[in-house]
Amino acid sequence: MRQILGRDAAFIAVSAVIIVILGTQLVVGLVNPGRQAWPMLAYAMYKEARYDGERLDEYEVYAVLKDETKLLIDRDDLGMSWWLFRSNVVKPVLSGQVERLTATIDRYCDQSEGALARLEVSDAGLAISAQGLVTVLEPQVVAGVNVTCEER
Amino acid sequence: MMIASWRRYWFAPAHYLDLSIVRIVACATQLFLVLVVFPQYQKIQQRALLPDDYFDPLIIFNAFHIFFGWGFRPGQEVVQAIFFVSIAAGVLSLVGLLTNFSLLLFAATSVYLQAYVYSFGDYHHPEAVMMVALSVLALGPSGRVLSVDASLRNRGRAESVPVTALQSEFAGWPIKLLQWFFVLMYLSAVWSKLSASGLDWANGYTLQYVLARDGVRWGSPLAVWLAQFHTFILLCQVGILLFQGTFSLAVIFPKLRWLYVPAGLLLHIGIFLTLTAPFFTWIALYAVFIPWSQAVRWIGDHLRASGRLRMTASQDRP
Repeated sequence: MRQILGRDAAFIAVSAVIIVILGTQLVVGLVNPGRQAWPMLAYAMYKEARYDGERLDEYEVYAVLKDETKLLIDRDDLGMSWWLFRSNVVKPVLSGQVERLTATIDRYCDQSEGALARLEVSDAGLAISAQGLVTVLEPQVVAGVNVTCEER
Repeated sequence: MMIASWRRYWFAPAHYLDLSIVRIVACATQLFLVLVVFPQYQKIQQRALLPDDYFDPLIIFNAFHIFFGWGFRPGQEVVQAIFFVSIAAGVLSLVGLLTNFSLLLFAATSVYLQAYVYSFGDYHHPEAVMMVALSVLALGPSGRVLSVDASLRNRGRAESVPVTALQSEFAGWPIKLLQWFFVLMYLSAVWSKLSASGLDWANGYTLQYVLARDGVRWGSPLAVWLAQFHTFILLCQVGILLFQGTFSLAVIFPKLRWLYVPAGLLLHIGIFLTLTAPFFTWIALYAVFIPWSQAVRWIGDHLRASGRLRMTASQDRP
């Protein structure tokens, strides 16, 4: 950089780079604007405190048909990694964002010949205690979105 | 006064060797990760098959296509071609041929490709610091030694100066910037925990929960086994808060790196072995905390001294 700009200009340019990079990371790291700021990120992994008896957020997603038949939605069938499946299927069902589920709903409406009634997320029936992993619980439905195939 | 202090800190003469070793470590790590550990080419192919409904480009990815319109989705062939350009630029950066240009291209294409992979909803933390590292290395004199550029520059010169003696006032800032970047990442981590949960975060159950869940999720029996030791886990959590909250001391007082660097390596290796979270980029970029030129000089002196000792011993032999 010094050969291109000359010594003094290089000092100023490098100083600006330092201030912009560290300043941006400081602000993003504290404010956490989410993924859009990448590669500047907040390092907010595992930030929530957990407590004795809390159920693990380990989920499976089901396509529930009108006759209450439950089909497990396999991420491999959708060509997704675990993380893509979580971002594009599990989280939208948990937060009720039906508009982000369009591709999944279309696929299961076609597959069930219009019989899809609901997408449901169930946990794995696991929890934590002071003694470690608790495995004796029944899985619970934690969220669901109703679907109408006829409108598609 | 402030400007003078700024200059003294960021532009103190520093060894080219330290910067060049960081360049080699960063480039080798990035190439190894995208080619071998997490094959990026496969990820690109997998993303390309996803419907447009899932495409939600990052701002930085949109910035690359500013003239094609916001939300532009490039074809698979274009992204694949950029992948091969990136690998070629990475190899040139590693060996130090046209070092700054190669590094700039490697940094830009690495950011582009990772941003493409992260433009479908999910994103992760390990790569970001590597993107910053490649970018700042591209702006510093990273190829002045240990490079093809240096060999070509020194060709035909009679006398050669040892690489450990070569210094520049522009050779230190990329390393210092990355050291402070680590401080800010850890600060963000500890701030996120304390602002979301307060000191309750270190109640033991939090890390037990993470160990049990990720152990089940990723098939790590070690994590599930560890999750049963409540008091030990609680102490680990306190240690994590202390480590992340005070990491700046390792930059301010270099002698403390003897404590913080092994502790940090232990932390990230431990996280990988239990939670399978692969922070390999962080582990590799801890190279910025090692005074390579001092180490090389120390080893050289040591070898010379032991050589002299051997010579003296053999001369004394009857």
